[in-house]
Amino acid sequence: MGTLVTLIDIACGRPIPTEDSGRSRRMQLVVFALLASLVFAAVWGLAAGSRSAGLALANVYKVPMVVLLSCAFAAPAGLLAWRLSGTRVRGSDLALGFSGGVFGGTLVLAVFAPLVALYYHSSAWAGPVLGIGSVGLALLTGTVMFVRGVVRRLEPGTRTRTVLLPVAVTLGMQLLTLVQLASLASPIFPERTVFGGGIDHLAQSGHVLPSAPAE
Amino acid sequence: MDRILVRSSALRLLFVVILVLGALAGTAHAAPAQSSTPPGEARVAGALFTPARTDDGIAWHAQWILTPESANEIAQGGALVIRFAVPLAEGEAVEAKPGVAPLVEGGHVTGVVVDRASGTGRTMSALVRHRTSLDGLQRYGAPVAVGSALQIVDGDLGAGTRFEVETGRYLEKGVGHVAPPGTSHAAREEARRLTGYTARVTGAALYVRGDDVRAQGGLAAAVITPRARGHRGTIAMGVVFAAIVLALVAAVRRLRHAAGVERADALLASELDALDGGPR
Repeated sequence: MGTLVTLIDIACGRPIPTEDSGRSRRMQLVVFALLASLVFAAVWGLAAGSRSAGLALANVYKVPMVVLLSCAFAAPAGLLAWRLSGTRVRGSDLALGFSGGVFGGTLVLAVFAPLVALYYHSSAWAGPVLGIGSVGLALLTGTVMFVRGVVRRLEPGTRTRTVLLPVAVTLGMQLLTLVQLASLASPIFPERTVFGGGIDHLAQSGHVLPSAPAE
Repeated sequence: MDRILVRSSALRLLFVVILVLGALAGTAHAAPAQSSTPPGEARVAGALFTPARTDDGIAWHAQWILTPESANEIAQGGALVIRFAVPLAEGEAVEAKPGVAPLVEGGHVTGVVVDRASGTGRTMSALVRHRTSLDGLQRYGAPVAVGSALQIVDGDLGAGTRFEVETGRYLEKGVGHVAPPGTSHAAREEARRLTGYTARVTGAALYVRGDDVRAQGGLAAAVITPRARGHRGTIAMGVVFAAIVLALVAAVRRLRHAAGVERADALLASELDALDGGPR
């Protein structure tokens, strides 16, 4: 429970207590944050697929899988950007900020899970809207927590903008991987959504070259 | 008596001949065009083949864009043959409509005879029905016209389902399309402009030349649904996911001791600091 409270404090951008600022403890918190995120994501997945038992059970591993793999695929790019940007922020601070953002985002999903389940069972349209809306809110919350967590842990005298590159690269990579992973793992919702077809579907709706037939 | 019988036989024969000729003349519009007196051949500048799922397979809406010369001949009231790169196979048929008649040669439909009624301007259209089960690899039923003009076969069957063509040595996969090797962007753009095809970055568009299709003996493609496409990816994802979770659990175990020692050291140091600073 103490670790969970520490994680919430970190996600909220509060300073890390002195006893938790050792290298191993930080890494432990990063790992705990990711494992807790999997549990939160599974709870939301269960709620989003609760109209069908098969879908709900599949979502218990599919949603955490999408979350964890998106983190795993985004992290190397973020670390490279961190190295190349030459920013003075510590790598463990960046990792802690990232995992804190993921933790916060999935916590939002878990908090919304009962509401999503309730609306899926009692409304024809509000369930999917709430499901997709909660994902959007989780992404926004996670982004804000990540940025705030990293910026607040900057050493005095370090320019904020120097850390924005690794943060932006990590977030961009995660968003790109999320789109395709969600497509590969679909169906997550009982309905067909715009994210079910991945980048092909999104690009198809946005990229059309109009032309006229020969006369 | 014999003369009467002979005359009667001759009359009967004449009657039968007249009857057969009359029947042939009466069904001339409905019957497929025979190879004995085929009209001249049309030259195709481009074409677009759009599939639609039906109860028993695929209906290919074919639009051939003729060259201005061929279109002019048709506009003057003539009829021309659009010859297919490969004859239609069993289960494939040209749907009857005014101005379109299948050209049958050697028992196979090898093209269509078109006239003014089959289209407008340079565009001639027809519907080819392909009875198929959509399972596994199958023949592409699109009636690609013979010639070197670049023709477009849309492989999009809707809802993310699409044809994925087998690329032999005559085709190669590009970004968002499949085309003969060396096909320039301008050539594809020209084919799109001629046919009015709206380009989509889905990888579904297939650009082909009739001569290549003929050399390859037809095209083969598989119908791939989004579920089938994602299936292989999901298995790989599951394996990677399990590996990462196991790694995280192992990391928790490894870090537990080191983190405990660090935490104890930090707490001890803070206690000592507090004791040092306490009496002052």
